[in-house]
Amino acid sequence: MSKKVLIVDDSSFIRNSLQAILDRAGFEVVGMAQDGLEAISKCKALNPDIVAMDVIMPRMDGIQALRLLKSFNADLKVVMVTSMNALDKVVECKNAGANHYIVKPFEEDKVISVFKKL
Amino acid sequence: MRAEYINAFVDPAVIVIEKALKVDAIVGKITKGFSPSMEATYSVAIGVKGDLSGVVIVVFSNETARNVSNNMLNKSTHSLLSQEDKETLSELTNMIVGNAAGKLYELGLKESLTPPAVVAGTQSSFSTLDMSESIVVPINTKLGVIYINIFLKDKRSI
Repeated sequence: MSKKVLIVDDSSFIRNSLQAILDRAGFEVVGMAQDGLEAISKCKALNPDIVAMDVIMPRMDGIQALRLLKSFNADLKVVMVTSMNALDKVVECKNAGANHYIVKPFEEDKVISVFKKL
Repeated sequence: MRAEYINAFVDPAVIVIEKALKVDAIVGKITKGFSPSMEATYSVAIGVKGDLSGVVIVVFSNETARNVSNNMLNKSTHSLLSQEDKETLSELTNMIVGNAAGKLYELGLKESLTPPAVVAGTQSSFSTLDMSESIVVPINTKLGVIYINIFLKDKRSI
């Protein structure tokens, strides 16, 4: 059975790009959210296996959302997908429970490789 | 601003543009001031807060904005920019500045970024900024020139 993915990013360009890549790789994209707050409500409603999470977003950023999601469900896999490639952000995400970190602009092979490891 | 800080934007900008747009990107003459006055532009502003603070504004002429968006979305339209087009330009800017923040971190500078904001209009939209302290980096591509305007102050030197 294919794994269910929720995509969280304030950019429709990234949401649509990730959806196309994950569709082709056999994942089931069950929903998309535009910020951390929407991600929390959609996670509760859709119960995904994996969340692809941007970091810099309006209303609630990805690291805050990551901490909340992990507190609700420690088994949830979260992949941070962000342009912020500074090491302090990578470490902050890892400490908050992120399973992987992909830097934008990303390549399809890299995205698939990371998601298939989860 | 120190040359190494400017280079922290230039090098990632070239890499991001070449990777995201799949075109050659050549850095033009870096000067003080703001990008040249154009009748109609789309500008994407990202706030920077940390050891360097201020704003980075990436400016596209209408034609360049359309070309860049068409390229990234793999389409060919000539209409006014849609919300999706604007979000695509925002994302390119986000990638340029986000990757630059990584370079700045390697130089010992910690930065936080705001979500991007798109402004349609002319540079008078930014008339409150002190342009005498800004640096403009033109990046030449076959899709048009992408101007990266850097308005950052080193808080540690104040």
